[in-house]
Amino acid sequence: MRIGWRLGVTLILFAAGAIVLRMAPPVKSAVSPVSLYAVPLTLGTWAGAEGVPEEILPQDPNEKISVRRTYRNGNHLAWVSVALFVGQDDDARRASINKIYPQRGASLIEPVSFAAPLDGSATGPITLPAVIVHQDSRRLLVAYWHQIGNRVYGNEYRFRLALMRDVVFVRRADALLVRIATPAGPAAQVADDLAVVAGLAPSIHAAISQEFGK
Amino acid sequence: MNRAAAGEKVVTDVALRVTSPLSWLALGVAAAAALGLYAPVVAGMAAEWSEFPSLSHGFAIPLISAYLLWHRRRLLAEAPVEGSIAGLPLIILALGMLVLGSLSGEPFVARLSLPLALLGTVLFLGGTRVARHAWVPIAYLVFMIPLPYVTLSALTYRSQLFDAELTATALGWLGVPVLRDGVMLHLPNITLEVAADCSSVPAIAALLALGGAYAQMQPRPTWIRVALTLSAAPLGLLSNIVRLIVTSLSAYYLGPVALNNVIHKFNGTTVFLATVVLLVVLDALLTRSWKRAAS
Repeated sequence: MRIGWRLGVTLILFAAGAIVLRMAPPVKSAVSPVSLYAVPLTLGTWAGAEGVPEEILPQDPNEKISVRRTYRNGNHLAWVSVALFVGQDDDARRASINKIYPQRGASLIEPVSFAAPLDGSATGPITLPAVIVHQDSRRLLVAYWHQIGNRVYGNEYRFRLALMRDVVFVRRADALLVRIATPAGPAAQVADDLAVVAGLAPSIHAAISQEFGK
Repeated sequence: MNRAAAGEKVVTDVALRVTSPLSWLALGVAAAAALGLYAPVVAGMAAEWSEFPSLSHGFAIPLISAYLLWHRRRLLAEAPVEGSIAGLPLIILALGMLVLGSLSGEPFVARLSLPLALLGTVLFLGGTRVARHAWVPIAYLVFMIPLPYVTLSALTYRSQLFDAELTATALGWLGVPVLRDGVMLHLPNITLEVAADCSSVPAIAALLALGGAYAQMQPRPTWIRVALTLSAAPLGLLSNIVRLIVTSLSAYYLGPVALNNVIHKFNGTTVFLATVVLLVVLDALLTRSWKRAAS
């Protein structure tokens, strides 16, 4: 093959790449921000009130909108944040991994193994990321997941891959970040703390999926 | 002239004929087109290099890569430009990665495709013999690509814990009473935090690039080059541990004023310089043992 011909093929390929990048349709959001407030104040036996302290679940400046509630069930307490992120074809508008749980002044951030039956007992439990944040004398358990439509992602890389696929092929670029926090006791009590989160997570997931599971 | 010699002459003549200035011009045009296509990707990287001190080595990488190419100019000039179809799938793969990464906002994927596109172009237009001499400078460009933040953040936190544990152990050996709580080091007079900035993980790409450039600077056996390149990161981690121990000792004996010293404030530079010294020492040791074995 002559060099001129090869150069031509190369330049045509480069031009095709540039055209595809330039002609891509804009991304869209499938979730209406206002409908986020459809997350109910009462979830089973849990009663909620508006607001979550910033030092418990930090607010991400990239979120479009979020519902932040404090839920109580007898002696149990849980803080919940459901945040909507849009336009994530720009990586600067994604949920920051530094804002998922409080990190300032934390001496230790300890990952814990956690699986919750988000879709009810019919399907198996889904493994979700959870950490115990040690801050001075306080210990906080935080579990979270990303959600696109009905799909739940506990693994950051799988979430990013799914988002990449959606953005490229469907041009959909919105996702939810759901976080549940509860005060954590000593190490021996971790199973009880996880049970509190596992009890609340399916109700939140059901409420979100009913509204946004498109 | 026998038949083999005649054949060899024909091959040499063909190579000389094909390696014309026009062939190199075609390679230059294609490389320029690739850089034009990747201009937004390069601009995005440059913005990060200037924003984050731990990535500022990125500015030096294309220059070092250009130097490495210049260093091989004689070999490149002698190589016949004959083109290889093997470069075409590489170009297509790179363009696919560029499109995927750019449209989906995954800059790492788009950035990683740049060296691949350049290598594919050189292989497709220049052929295997040109690519054989050009692949090291092109591959060196990988060091300018910032690691994905999700990966970097997880590695950094593990490194913080590891650094804190080693520092606490060393302080104990040195007779300094210390209580470690995660990344916190409680000394009798002060509490120190091994923060993310104290970790050498963000500089790991810079250290690897340093090792790679150092290894390429002089003619050496390949195994010494590989050893020097791969040693830069662990030597950097070692330098950082020593820096943390020195800082903790200073804080214990001198108080908080010790945290304002040059070693602590310019931690990146300190670790970088210490790593260079360790690389030179390692190089001397490896070269001596190689020469001894050779003689």
